Amino acid sequence: MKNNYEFPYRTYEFVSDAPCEVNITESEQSLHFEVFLNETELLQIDKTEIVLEMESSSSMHRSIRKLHFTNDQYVCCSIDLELVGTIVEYSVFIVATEDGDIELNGKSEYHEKGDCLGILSSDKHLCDGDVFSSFIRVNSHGLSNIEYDLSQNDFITIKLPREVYQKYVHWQMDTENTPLIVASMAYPVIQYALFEILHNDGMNEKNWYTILETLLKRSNFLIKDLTIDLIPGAVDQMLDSCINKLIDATSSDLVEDDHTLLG
Amino acid sequence: MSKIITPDSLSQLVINIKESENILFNYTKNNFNPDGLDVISTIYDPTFPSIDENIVDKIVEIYRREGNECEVGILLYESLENMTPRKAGNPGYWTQMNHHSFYKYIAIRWPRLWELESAELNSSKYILDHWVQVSSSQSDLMRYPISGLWWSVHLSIDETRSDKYELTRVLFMNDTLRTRQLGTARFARHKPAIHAVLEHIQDLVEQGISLEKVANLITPYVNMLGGIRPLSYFDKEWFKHKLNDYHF
Repeated sequence: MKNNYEFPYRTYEFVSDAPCEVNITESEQSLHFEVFLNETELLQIDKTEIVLEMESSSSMHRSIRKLHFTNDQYVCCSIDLELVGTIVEYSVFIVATEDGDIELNGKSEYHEKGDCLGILSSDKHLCDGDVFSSFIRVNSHGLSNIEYDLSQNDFITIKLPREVYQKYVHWQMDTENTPLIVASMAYPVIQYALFEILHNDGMNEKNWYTILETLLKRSNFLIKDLTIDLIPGAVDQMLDSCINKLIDATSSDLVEDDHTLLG
Repeated sequence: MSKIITPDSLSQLVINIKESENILFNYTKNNFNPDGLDVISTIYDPTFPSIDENIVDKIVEIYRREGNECEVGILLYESLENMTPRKAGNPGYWTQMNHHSFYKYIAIRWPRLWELESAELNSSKYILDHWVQVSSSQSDLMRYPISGLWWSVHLSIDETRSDKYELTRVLFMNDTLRTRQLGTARFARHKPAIHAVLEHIQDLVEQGISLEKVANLITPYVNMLGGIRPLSYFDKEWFKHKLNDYHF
C-alpha cells in the first residue's frame, strides 16, 4: 500500500533548491512568518496542502498552520511569543489531505492523510536574539554592516546582517565556539559600551549598565574609576581572560616554541 | 516579581560545584546557605511569577501526607499565576526556585544527599541533577523536580473536561512514565497527541493491562507514527483511532 517510508520524507522532486522562502520578524508579542511560494505548481497537486509546522523544545510547543496562499503566492501567520522558547524550529511541508492515490512527478502513489510528501523549507529561528549573556543579545537587521545598539534598557544589542546572523545562529549552538563568541563578539561590544559610558551621561539608568557594573565590580573594577587605557584589561578580566581562553581553545596543540609564531 | 539567576552565574555555579568540595556544605538538610555561593547573581523580572511561602509549606505538607506528587504539582501549577511556556523554559528561574522557595521540598523529596555515605554517592552530581538547571531542553525541564511538576501539569491539563486534571492523574501514576518516557517524547509537545495517549493508558489500565507494559510500548509506537508525517497535523481523534488499532 505505502511506499514513501523514505526518511526524511522527501518524495516530491522540487524543481528548484528553494521551493519557498520564509521570512521571520518579531514584534513585542508575536513572531510573524511570511511564506513566499516559488514553485506555484505545488498548488495544483490534488489532495494536498501546504502547512507550516513550528516547534520549540524549551516551551514544549508544537503546532501546525495550514497555509492558504493567495494569488501572489504569499501567506503570513503569527504565533504568540509566550508560546515559544528562544529557538523555534520551523518547516514548510506539503502533505496529503486524504487517503488515496496522489500523482507526484508523473507517478501515482497511495498516501494516507497527513503523509509528508516533501519539505519545502526547514530552519531555525532564534527569538529575542541570542541571549548568550545576561545583558548582551544578538539580532539581525536589514543592513549590510554590523551595528551596536545601546539604546535598549535590558540589553546591549549586536546587530548582524541577516545572512551573517543566519549563519551565526547555527554556529553559536556548538558550545565549542563559546570562547570565540566571547572574545570576538562580547569583548569588543562591552569595550564599546564602556567607551560610550565614559563619553555620555544617562547610560547608568539602563538595566544592562547595572549588570555590567556588577560584573566589573566582581573583577575589582569600578566604572567610575575606569579610563580608556584600563578598559581592555578590565573587560578581559571580567570575561574571565577571554583572549587567553580563545587562544587555548583554538591552538591547543601549540608547543612553547610555537608561540613565537603568534608574535 | 521574581528573581532569575543569570546565564553566566548558572555556568559558574556548575563549575564551582564540580570543582570545589566546600561549596557542597551550603546544601544542608534543612536549608540552603546562599552566603557561600557568591557566584550567584540574579536579575529581577517583574513578569515572572513568585510563590507565596505559605503555599510552599502546604506543598511540603501534601507530599508528606500523600507521598505522591500529583496534588503537589496541581497546587504548584495553580499557584504560579501568569506563568507562560516561554517563561517556564527559563532554567535560571527554576534554579533560583530550587535554591530558595523549593529547597526544603526538594531536600525532602530527594534526601539521598544526607542519607548515604559520601563514598556511595557522587554529591556534586546529585546536587547538579536536582538543584541546578542550566538547560532548557524538554528532557531537563521534565526531569528536574520543580520544573518537571509544572510542565507535567501543563502538558496534561485538559480544560474541556469536567475534571481538567483527570489526565494529569494518569501521567502522575508513574514517575518514569512522566519524566522519562511520555514527558520527554517529542509528540508530547502536541497536546492532542499526549491527551489521546493518556486517555488510552487510562482505558488500558482500567482493563487490567500493566502500566509498565503500556508505558514501554506506547511512546515508540507514537514516535513511529510520526516517522513519515508531521504529528501536529492531526487531532486527538486521529491519535485515538491509531492507538485503538494497536494491540498492547
